[in-house]
Amino acid sequence: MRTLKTFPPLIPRLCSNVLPFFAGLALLLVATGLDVTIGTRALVQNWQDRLFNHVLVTLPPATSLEQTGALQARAAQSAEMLLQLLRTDPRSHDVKVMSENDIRQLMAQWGSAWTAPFPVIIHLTYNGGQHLLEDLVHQKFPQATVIFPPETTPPLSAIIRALQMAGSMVTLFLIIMGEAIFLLALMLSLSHGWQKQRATLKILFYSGCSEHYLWSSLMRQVGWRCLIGGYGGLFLMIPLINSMTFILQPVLHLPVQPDGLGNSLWHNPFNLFWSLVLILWPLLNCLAGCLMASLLFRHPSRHFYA
Amino acid sequence: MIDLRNLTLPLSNDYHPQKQQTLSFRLETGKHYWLVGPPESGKTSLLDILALRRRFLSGQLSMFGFDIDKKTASRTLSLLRARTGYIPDQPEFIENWTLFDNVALPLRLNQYDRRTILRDTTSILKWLSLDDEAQNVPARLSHTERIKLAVARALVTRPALLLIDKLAFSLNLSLRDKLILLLKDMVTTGKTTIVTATDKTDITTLLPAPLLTLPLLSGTTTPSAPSSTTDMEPLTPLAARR
Repeated sequence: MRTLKTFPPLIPRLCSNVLPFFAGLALLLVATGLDVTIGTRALVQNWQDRLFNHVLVTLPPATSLEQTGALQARAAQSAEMLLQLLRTDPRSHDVKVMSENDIRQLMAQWGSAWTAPFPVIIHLTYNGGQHLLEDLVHQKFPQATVIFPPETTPPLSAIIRALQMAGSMVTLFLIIMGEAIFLLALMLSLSHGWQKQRATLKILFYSGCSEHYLWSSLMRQVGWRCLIGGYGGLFLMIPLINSMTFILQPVLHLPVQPDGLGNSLWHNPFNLFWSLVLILWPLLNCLAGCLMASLLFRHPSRHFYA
Repeated sequence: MIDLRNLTLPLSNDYHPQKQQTLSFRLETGKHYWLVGPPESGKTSLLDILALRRRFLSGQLSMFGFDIDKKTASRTLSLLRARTGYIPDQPEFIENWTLFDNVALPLRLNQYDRRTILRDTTSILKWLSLDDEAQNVPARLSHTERIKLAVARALVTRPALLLIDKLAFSLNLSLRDKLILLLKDMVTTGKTTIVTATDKTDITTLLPAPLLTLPLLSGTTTPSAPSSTTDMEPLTPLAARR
């Protein structure tokens, strides 16, 4: 007979080891839901910036055929000076001279084929007021024309609102689904554990095991599984969301991360508030799990002492 | 001390059309009682009630100073169950645990230290010749061996109340003799109240003890005088190991 003996745990496993997986899945769904709203807002903002803040500054082309060479050189010099001027303004971003091909495509959208010499067109994103840019440009280049985008049209605003609403609905759906999956998994797990261990529990009760001991053991079992699953999900969530963002970058025209996927994998996409919410979420799930376990296993000895 | 007052106990309708009997008696600490009666006279039901495995329909029950009713705290019930050893006819075990772990269970629940658990469990398994099977699971045992295992589990904590159902005394002669030796030793020690159920009155001659006879169709019963006396060995393996 062995003298060094390791005893089996007194209280059997009453909730399944699959529970952490569902706790993790629940957190992933909740975090993805939150990210959908945050991402939709960022995306809409990005699109709005691109749509409403892009400005074209044009310089008139050379008109006299005889003086073409000299004028072209002067125009090129003016364009370069204008480019430098615009780049010095901190409110300007993505300042670049449009190529002849781009200009040809742009002109083609306006009407018939453009036969005259092409003007110099500079494209930029400007975050300041219209008059500031006009003053800046006209001060040194009075012949230049500054073309701003049109005001927001009602259908476009409606689309943006619908997009934001859809994002919020998807968030709500994912959060509810995540929590529903977690609570259902917990309930099934506890119910299965009770059925499976009923005979063992009966013997434990008849041998003098107290309800309190069973309760505290069950709370530990549920609590640890919820916490491990939840924080495991949190650990997986950040690279998963960053990978998804990286994959969707070219499709949604998101700003390119200069670091690339490898470096931005562990970049937290949430701000401080939402980060705290997500860090606390597994704790809340843990409390909810313990509460549900308490309700389901309320006075279990009643089943054996009737 | 265990006190039963007007306790209603189920009974076969062969004995009474109302299928119940009312008992009132007192069991003194450190004494042994024979619970005698034909089949379906309520012996096992009474043992189940005393083991706090079954609620009684009406009446009053007091065990070791605690009144047992629906309001009794589960903590008190657990405490009393932990101080009770029960050897039923159909013992149940945790089937995925070894014999050793099953026997050690009451000691663990009573929070004995690890050394005592190992020593006492090993000792009692050896006394009942189950030491070779100690690392097997109960499913591999015969019914007699399962009764022996139940005996080991019931006795390992030296309970304040020991309840023995009829099969423990009728399956195996060697087991019966060992139990008689043990019971005599326990009576001498005077710390354990023992109730042994049997439907064979001749067994009661093996150990002098008051008789509680069932069925009791009306009124109050008091344990009758000891049936006879028998010379027994005073030393038991359990006494030796302690």
